[in-house]
Amino acid sequence: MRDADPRTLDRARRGDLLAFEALVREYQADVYRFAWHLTRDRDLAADVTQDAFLRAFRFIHGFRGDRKFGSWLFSITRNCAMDSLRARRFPLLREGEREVEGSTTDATTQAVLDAALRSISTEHRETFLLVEVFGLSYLEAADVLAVAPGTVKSRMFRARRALCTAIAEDETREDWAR
Amino acid sequence: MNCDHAQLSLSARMDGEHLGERRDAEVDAHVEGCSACREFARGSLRVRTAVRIRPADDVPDLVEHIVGSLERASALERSGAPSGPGPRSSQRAYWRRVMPAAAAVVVGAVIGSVVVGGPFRGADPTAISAQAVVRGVRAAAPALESFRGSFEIVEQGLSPDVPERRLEMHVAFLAPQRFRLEIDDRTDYPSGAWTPTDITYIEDMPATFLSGPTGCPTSLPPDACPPTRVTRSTSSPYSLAAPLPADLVVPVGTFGSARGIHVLGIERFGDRDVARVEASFDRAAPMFPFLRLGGTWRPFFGGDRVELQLDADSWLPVRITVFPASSEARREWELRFGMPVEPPDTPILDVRATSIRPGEPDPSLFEIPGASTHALDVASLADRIGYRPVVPTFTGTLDLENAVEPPDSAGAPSSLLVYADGLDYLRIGEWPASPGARPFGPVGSDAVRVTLDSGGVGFYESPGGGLGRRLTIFTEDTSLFLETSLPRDELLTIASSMPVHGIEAMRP
Repeated sequence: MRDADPRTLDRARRGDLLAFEALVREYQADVYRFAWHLTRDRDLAADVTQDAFLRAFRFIHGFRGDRKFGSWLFSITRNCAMDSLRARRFPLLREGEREVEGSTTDATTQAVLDAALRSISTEHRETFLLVEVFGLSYLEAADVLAVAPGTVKSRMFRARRALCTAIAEDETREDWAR
Repeated sequence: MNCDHAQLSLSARMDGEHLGERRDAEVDAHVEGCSACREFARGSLRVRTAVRIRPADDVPDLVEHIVGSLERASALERSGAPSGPGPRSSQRAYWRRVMPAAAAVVVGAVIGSVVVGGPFRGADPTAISAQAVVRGVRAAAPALESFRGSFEIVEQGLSPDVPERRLEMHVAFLAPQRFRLEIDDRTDYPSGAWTPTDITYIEDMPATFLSGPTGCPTSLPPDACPPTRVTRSTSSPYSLAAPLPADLVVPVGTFGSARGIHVLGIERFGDRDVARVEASFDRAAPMFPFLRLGGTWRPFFGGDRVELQLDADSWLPVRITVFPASSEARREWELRFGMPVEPPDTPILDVRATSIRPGEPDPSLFEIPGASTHALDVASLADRIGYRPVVPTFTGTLDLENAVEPPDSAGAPSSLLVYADGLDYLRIGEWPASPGARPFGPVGSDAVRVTLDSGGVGFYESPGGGLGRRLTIFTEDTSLFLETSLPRDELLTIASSMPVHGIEAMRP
């Protein structure tokens, strides 16, 4: 994940709304995607995205430059998502089925992958998303998740194994069905 | 090495983690002889491929929504709603602290770049919306407490005898709502028939003082304009239509809305960001208050192109340049005024900040000779005028600065309340009798009927003619006129908090 322009970040930290808007433009798509992956609900993801930026704006004056802005923002997004899910008493992955859209030839693969993602634990899924989907390093993902980098490493391995197993099982079922 | 260790290492290697040569070799050796680990490697790659080639997510554009929420949160803080140490307060403190210094640095960079012969150097323009500039200006206006700066004005084409004029302009501002604008004409005129455009204008809202020569059409020879040889000084205790020089400090009037504003980009100027913005001369009229204060100036076509350079931190206008429009209408206008054809790429007016001085200006600079209207509180004013003026119950961050009884003269309201916060202001004039031809009324033909949250109606007018946004409210027993630098929605919110019910029809 590309980090924020230091000048823009510095101005935003000093309370410049215009500079913060530039950060919103740069990160809102990634924040929304991450929020959607965590909540599997479009409306909830939009709410989480808005809450995350509001919280970030409120506390950015205290943001230190010793971590990446993107990591900090993702950790806020994750907290907002968890708060939101708890508040609404939604089970995780409530609406995951409807996300596979479009008419690509990979639709089946995507459906299998989405089902597989839903089948793994939250901590494995969010780690996998941060590293594999959003391109964070182990160090950055560890920062977002407030865990040690070694934990990210082991979670990635277990997430991959679980996803490989889930996809292999699905293919086996498909083979039997033919 | 067992399969768990090998697959853990394979996974880390896929993610760009360095295992070391020895570990790499051990993993490769294990995988070569292990079908389960080869299957894990293949499966992991398939997952990666599936993840990375998945159709683009349908991501909604939430930017405006989010920024709107941020602004509402900021507005709540501005209105005094309970909140923690939020960004808005630090933003205001930041502007108060940094603006003079930031502006001075930009002005220094402008001067430097002119000396070396090139305007902008450095990074490519960055996209920025006109709405974003409006928001930046809006945020800066109430935070500014004082200003002292100088500008150089270079005007081309006044007449064949005076092809170029150079004037110095000094602008001072001190909250609440005190302005001083002085113009010192440094032009070498060809004869004594020409009267220098030396102007002094002071505003201590609502009172004004103006000293300077009256105008003279440039189409006439200077000695055919006797009035231009006369310098008149006038004090007015309540000039509500006076041109505020506020836009020379922060362009709050010009950027009251994004309509007609075209942003060219943000560029680096030394180590500063400067926003380049374009608008028509008519649209940017508040940037030129000095043109309405008398003296002799060349004419400008309403569609002429104005390029503004604004410091992206403080929103101080560091340079304002007018270029002739290239339209056919401009050519017709030149013919009508007997003007020569002016090329669209040659500036005809260039206003450039030359210095910003730190510290507050001396309050004595804003003393108006002969001004006799005394500020009162609302209760004392009510005792004098025999009725209690209508006051809004909500004014956001604006404070009541003046409650005056203007002298009884044509067009004067019976009472006048002045609210201010930094460069932001609100004036409320009231006539307990029916409205007639007032300085602000009758309501202009382009006024828009609006329904207030309180249930009544008002008549809203956009900024123009030296006035800010206006709202006129007629009730059964009084008439109210509100004029402000605030955005439309804030004006309507304040108006809605007034304990009156606006009626539909204007009374004769």
